[in-house]
Amino acid sequence: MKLKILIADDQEINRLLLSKISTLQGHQVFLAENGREAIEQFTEHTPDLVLMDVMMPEVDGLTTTSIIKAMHPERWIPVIVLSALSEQDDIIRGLKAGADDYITKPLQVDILIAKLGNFERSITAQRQLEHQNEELRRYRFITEDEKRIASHLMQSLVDIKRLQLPGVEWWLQAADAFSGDVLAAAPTPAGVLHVMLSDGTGHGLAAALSAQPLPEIFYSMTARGHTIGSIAREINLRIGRLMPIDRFFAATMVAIDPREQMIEVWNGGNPSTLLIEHDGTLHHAFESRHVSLGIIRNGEFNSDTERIPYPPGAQLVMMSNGLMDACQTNLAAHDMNLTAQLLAGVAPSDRLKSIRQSVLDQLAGSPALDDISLFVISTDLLENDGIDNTRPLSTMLTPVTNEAWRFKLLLNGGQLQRMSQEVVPFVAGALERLSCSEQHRGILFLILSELFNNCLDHALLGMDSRLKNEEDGFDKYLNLRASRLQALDNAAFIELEVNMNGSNAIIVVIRDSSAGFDHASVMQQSMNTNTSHGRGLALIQALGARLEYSEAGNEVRAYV
Amino acid sequence: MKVTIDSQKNIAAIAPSGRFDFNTHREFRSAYEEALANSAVRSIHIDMKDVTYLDSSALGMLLLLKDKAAASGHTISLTNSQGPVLQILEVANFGKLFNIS
Repeated sequence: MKLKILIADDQEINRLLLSKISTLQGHQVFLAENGREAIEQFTEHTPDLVLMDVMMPEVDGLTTTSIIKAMHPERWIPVIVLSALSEQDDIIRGLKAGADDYITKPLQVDILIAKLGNFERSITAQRQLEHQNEELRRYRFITEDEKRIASHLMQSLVDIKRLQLPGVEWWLQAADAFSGDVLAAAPTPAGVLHVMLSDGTGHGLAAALSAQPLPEIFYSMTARGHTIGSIAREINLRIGRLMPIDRFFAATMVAIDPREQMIEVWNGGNPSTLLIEHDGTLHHAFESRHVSLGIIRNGEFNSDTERIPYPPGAQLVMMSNGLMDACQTNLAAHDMNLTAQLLAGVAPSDRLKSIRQSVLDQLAGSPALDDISLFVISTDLLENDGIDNTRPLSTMLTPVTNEAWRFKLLLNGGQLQRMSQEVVPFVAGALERLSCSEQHRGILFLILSELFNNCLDHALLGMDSRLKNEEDGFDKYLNLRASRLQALDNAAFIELEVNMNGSNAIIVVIRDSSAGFDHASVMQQSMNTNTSHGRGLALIQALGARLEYSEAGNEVRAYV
Repeated sequence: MKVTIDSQKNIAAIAPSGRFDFNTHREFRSAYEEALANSAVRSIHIDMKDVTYLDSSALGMLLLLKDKAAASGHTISLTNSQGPVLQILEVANFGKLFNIS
């Protein structure tokens, strides 16, 4: 190894001799005539070895030695002190000052050459060690950085803070350091709880990476009040664009409306989602009715959901295939009764623990082959209205600006058929762009959904909510509604207007082409909190908004 | 992985066995490439009789094959599915994508 050698000596003859010997050994030299110059050269060139005379003007060799030794404490740069035999005390002081060796004057060339050779070997070994340490440090840094990014990625797939919702319990056991399972839950602006459990192809980093778009789409669309069917459709589209065909996501999407006591499920490729009664018996199994997300790529995607009312105290159990695999025969996909038996006789608050324990018992300490994830949702613990109606309205309406604006949308029959589910999220998205606070958006979303749905269902389609109270009423209601919606012609319309008058008061007006409907009875029903559904109008008024229906009922104004 | 070609019926039968998962990837691919390359073959049957388990990457491989087969005008069927394998295919709703018997 070619060394950079700094030679500090005030005698020119010594400098000449030392530099000649050094260069003949193949090394590079830098020369200094005194301690001050030595420090300068040292700083500039960072040599590998220093030959240091003791007696020098300005700064002597020993002081210089202790100064340069302090300059690179992390790196071994040996200093050889050159000293006359009579200066033996200096040698000791030199070694104490940090010198690594000494050579006596007058110089004996063969000794110097031999020592240079020894130091060269030590320095070479030292440099290799330093290099390896540096490599190790670099790898450690890269690994730590990757770990940091990975844990960030994982956090976005399972955002623990966002899952801290009343009534929501979950469990995730990853088969690998990384998991491709996504757990997400959030309420819509109207207080409907959306829950997603998704299980990507394979596991490990590739699965975790490819799942990245899912929570983002889920949370942003839920915040805008899109339906779970629309969210599933959007995720399917995005995954289809981003990933090769063999990367797909089994997913269950759930919407629980605690006000209407309704539950809606889209299940593509996951084990059945189980609706469990308070006593733990099976009420209904929402089977996988679709293929996983990311497979259908030609517009044939089916966003149809199953929607049923749920009994008081009901719980919902959602799980990934990994859970089924881990349980093997005991919880085979079709053995719903058996699954329910695992839950019956167990207190509702212990059911997640009960399933987890049974899975861990099955695994008996061996690692799971696939990621295992589980949600247990207790409907009676859900926040009933999503919107905090204990606060008076005035504190919710923090003015953002005093800009006035007016938004108007007219939809004919055909458009209502195509996008009746998308109207409110679409308008809410537009209002987000206008000057409107988040609190405003919450209540506006509620007003828009309630009034728009009342208008469409009762006025335009002539539906009677009392049908829902009959046996199988919900199915009958939904079927009748679907066929009437299909029969709408383009003379039918709904006009929707939102008017911000500039002093932070908002008026929502919805009018339609029908002869109106019995709004007084719908309002009366809504005030009767014993009915499970249709409480929206009562909630709007409880929040302090004023509702005015036209005589016939085909125009309604809400003053916020 | 065994590939049986019936030139009279224009059918190639591929029979994976045991666990059909990511480790089977290369073997399965070379089997279906052999079948697709044979000009006598118009349809490919994946015989699931001896498959004990299939995971999501096996489902992915079947989708890859379906894509390739569609491009070259071949049809794909999954035959002899039973027990847990049939259950997995049912939960995945692969009946919407393949002929399953």
